[in-house]
Amino acid sequence: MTVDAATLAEIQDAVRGHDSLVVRAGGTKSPAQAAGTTIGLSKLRGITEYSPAECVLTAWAGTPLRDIEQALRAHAQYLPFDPPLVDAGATIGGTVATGLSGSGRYRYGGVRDFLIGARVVDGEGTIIRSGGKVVKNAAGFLLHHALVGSAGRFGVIAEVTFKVFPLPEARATLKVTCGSAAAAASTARSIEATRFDCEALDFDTHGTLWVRIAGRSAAVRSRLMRLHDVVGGARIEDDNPEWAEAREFTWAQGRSIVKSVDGPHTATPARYICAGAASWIACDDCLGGPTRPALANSDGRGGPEGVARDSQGRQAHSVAVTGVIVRGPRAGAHVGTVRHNEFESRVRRVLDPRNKFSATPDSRS
Amino acid sequence: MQPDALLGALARIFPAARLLTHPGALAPYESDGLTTMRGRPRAVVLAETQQEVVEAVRLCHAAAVPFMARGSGTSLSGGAVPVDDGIVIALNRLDRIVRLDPVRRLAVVEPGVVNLDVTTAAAPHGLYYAPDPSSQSICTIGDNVAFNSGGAHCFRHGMTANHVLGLKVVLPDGTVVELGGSSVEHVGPDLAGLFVGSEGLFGIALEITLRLVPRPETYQTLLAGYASLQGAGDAVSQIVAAGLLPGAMEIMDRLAIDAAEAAVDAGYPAGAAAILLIELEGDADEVAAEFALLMGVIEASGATSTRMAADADDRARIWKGRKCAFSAVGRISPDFIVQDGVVPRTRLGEALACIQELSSSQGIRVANVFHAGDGNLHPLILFDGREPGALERAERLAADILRLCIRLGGSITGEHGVGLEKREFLGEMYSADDMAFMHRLHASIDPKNIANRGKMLGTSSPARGGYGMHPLERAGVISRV
Repeated sequence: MTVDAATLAEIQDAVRGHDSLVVRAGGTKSPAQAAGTTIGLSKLRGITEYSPAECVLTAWAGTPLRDIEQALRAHAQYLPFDPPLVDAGATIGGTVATGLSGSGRYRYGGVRDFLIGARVVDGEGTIIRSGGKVVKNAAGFLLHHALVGSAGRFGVIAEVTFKVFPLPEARATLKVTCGSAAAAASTARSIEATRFDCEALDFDTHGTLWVRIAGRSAAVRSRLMRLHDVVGGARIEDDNPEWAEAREFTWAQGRSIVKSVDGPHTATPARYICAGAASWIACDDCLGGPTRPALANSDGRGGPEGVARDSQGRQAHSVAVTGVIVRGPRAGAHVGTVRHNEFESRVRRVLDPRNKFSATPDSRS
Repeated sequence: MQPDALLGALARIFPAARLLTHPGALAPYESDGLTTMRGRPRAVVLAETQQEVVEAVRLCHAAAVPFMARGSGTSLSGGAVPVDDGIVIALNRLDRIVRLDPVRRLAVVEPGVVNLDVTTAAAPHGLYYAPDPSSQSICTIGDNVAFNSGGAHCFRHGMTANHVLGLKVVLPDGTVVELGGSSVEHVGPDLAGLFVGSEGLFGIALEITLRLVPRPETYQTLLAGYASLQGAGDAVSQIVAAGLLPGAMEIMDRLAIDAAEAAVDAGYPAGAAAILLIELEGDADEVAAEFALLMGVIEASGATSTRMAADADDRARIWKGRKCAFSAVGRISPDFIVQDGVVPRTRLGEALACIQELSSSQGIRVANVFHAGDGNLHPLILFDGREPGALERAERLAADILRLCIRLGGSITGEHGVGLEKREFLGEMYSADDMAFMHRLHASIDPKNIANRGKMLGTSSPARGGYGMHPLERAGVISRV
């Protein structure tokens, strides 16, 4: 059953009127397969406040990223963390709930660093505001921080406020063929050692490395030359399609996607961001199957940390990674050992005392 | 456990030299940077290991005696004022940098590590720790985590919360939990981000994983003089509108300039009503291109003078004037209150005009120093504490300024936190539902209300009086689920 909510009041009604709830907006990530009523937020959309001079934008959770990026671009501003799945129709609220940042998070940080305020409807239907609409604020408990990656378990994220930045005047990308992921990781380290101010530094399983710089057009050419002196490679004249491939996960060819917080590993195929500090892994069945090894055991059941097991509990020949499935079956489930976190439980007891939001795929006590 | 038994139990963990109970030894711990508020602890323990902190917390919890973690006590909001008869857990000796990983660009530190020492340790690897509160040479990372400290570079680089990747924390009941991790990305809710800024109410950070950032190839620091504060404020908006993202934009008014010049010869322009300090950072060629654009904006903004930092020493001199502005004001006034509020950047001019009006109508001098890039005001309210009623008048003016910040859509604190100082204003900034949530969350994490009791959410001192139910709980507004 799906209830569409187009206003805060309708979210409150939906929360108060149902026992078990799952939130869905753009539907690009979680399939919302859990039991319970689905609150559809795709009609709760629109930018509620945008002051380019303040570099602050507030929007309803169901607002497509596409609309937000378009509004920002009209004032030469942007969300610097390259939120994924823009073309696929992802929303700003879903981006916060899943805590997804893209390649651009390398330079200035990710969703967590740009979200400065939010309104959330808790499990009793109460509207709670956290943070504000100024870029610097240390007043009160900053609940909005905890919404990033919360997967809807702390309540319905209804409205979000972001700090935004001036859009760089120009960009340029060097593409370097390194031969293997290990060689690319090593090249990435040599780029980092120069301390050049790069906007994105990605590589993939095949050892292709992409490094992007951004800034004043007058300086882009000389900066790229200096970078080229260090790593070689070639400038891509039109780099948009290649970055769109990363952003939209088209390289994964429709397979499930795991966001991993680990650096270079042997999972394949994978795309690494932030010089290898985090990665995206494409897999057919991330949690394993009778004949297929899993990335790692899920839900913390069976097996010590770091030892992957298949669904029969056998130690699998696979890679132990820590992450979360962001697309595909059981989206929202954690990969790797999940420990009970007492702090999280205490926060959840306050926000969701009746366990209305806990029937998500990754159900944890 | 009875309170008296608590001291005995603490004595079994802490040798006499690290368990202070004599009034003379306790005196230095009675207040923090906001010296108008004091509390007399029952004892101070000087912890040297994380385990000692955990055990001290567990003993306090068993005895239901309030405790407060303390680093260098630099809080400007009364956040580190002990609860009367509570226990102070001093963390300065937990000062190990556990791990510094230049490849993953992170540092794992204990809470007593001094902010600047992280940067010093990271410097050989071309890295640094970005948050730079003015007290960075003495304040500790544990303090910074508790109060989500800021500094001069927050618009571009963010606050402490944006640089904490992971935390090992002891909750108020002695439970030890890990929040976040050691990657720039995290799985599950950003709980480390929620813990930062909780002002000690959620417990004590035992180990902190910090993100380090590469030191830019070049800095370019520009000092521009203006004939009015408004002119300097407007220039900030014009710089952002031009598409520039300076690492820092700071404004000081005449009074603050005079104080800084008297203290250190920073070479600020004579006769300017305000100065704007702008710092670009990045690759040398990029900064050169940005500087050309910046100069165009500054010239068009009506600056009366401009001066570029000649070299690294000159840059340090310019910054020294800014960073010592607070203490320098001590040379022109016997006492002063440092206020901390935020307004939307575009309303800076309006806010400053209002502050000047309040200042002249109430006959109280106010010096202004602020992080203009993020609208973070630091009015310094000057008074002479020997004059009867002067402190109260200054505090009233400080309150007027906070209400001005709320009215303009800003915040009552950008980086100092609520502490004891701003408790009555939090409820003016947030709704009753927001406040009730904060009380419920607090009660869920610390049902006995023993961790830094009275800060942020308390109403009187001692904040909640006794160990019983919270007033809102008694009234049925909140519950502990």
